[in-house]
Amino acid sequence: MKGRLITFFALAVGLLVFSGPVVAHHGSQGYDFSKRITLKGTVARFVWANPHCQIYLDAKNDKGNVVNWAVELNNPGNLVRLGWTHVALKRGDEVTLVFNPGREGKPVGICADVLFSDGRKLHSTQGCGAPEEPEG
Amino acid sequence: MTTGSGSFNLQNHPIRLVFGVVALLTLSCVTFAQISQPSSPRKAQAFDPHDLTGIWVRGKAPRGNAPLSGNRPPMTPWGQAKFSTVKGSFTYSRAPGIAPPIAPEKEWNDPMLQCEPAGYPRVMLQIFAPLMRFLQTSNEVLEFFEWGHTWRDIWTDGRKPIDNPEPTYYGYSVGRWDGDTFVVDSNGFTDRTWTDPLGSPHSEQMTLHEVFRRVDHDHLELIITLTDPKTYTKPWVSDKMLFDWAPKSPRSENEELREDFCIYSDQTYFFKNVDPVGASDAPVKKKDQ
Repeated sequence: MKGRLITFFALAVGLLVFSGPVVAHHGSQGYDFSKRITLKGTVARFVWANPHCQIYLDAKNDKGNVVNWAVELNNPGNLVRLGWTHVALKRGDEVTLVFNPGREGKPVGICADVLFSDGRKLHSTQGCGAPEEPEG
Repeated sequence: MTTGSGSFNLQNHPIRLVFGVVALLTLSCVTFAQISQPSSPRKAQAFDPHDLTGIWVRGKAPRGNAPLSGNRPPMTPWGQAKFSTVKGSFTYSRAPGIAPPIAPEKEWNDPMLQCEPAGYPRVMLQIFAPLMRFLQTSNEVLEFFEWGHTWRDIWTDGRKPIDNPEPTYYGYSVGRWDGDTFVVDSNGFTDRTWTDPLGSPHSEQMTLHEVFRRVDHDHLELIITLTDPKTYTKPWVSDKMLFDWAPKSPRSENEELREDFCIYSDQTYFFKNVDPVGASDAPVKKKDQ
């Protein structure tokens, strides 16, 4: 009993210490935040626009069929703060994306890392829920 | 250690570990906060407290998508009725009770999702709109906002506020210097906007009393007091908003305020094709678009 109380106490204090002003973002309920997937593919389109930039990635599934994934990023202004530019990606680029996918197998994603073959990496904080990172 | 209910050996008790961990975490947060403070050498930089010129980036308090404060006054029946129509998409964990439950996406009626102007003060509260730029002339202060690439005039030529001005999204504002604070009084706001991302309402009776203070070269503070007797039973005083001076925009490759527009075609494309909830009932082709 005492152990349970201590656990509860520790969890409660931890929650108080670390909880910030969490904001839910429009549309965020459609993503599976318990799952991260890694996809290697070809950039079909890179959209630099409000409300959110987007990467469309063609990647083969288990059956060898090409699936076009739509991955949501921050808005352009916050991507600039994170080191992106409007020409960070172009059609035909071969990249690896790591992200949280949509629920029910929808080919969409959020909270993305872009890994380039030369070792460079770009990170989008959109949907990552990190309190010190810009979202939007 | 002995308690009323019996002996309690704190020295060997696991609660010591819990207290230790909590103390460590708390101290580490304090340490991190201290490290995160702006570096002190800049504070010595000369500045004119009556000069607000420059780009100002909203700091971490409030971080964005926040109300003026969590202490929103009780609403009048008129305000409650208006608030009951809000179908929003944002929550605020610091004061969860003041946001309506997140509505199903198909019901959202946030005017900004239709690319309508943010208006004032919402433009100061939206997470994706953190930049403003002041310019001062002999008869006015111009406050430019990155979001919408728009501005408001704050008249400093000694004029008085006018009664019943034509309603606008950014209001009619007069400003004056009171010591080292810049005091702005505004009215004439259209009631088509939400006051904040949560959908807190206001009427065309809303007036704002703002106090800006440049505390040093790099930091600007703002407190807004909203008075709207048609909507709220007493004035609503904001948290202190903090802004950091920036020599150039950190949000633009061109190092100037972005043309940060809401483009309706881009907006609808995103919600139809990318956003998973919107995309769920719109199996449009995503390839080669």
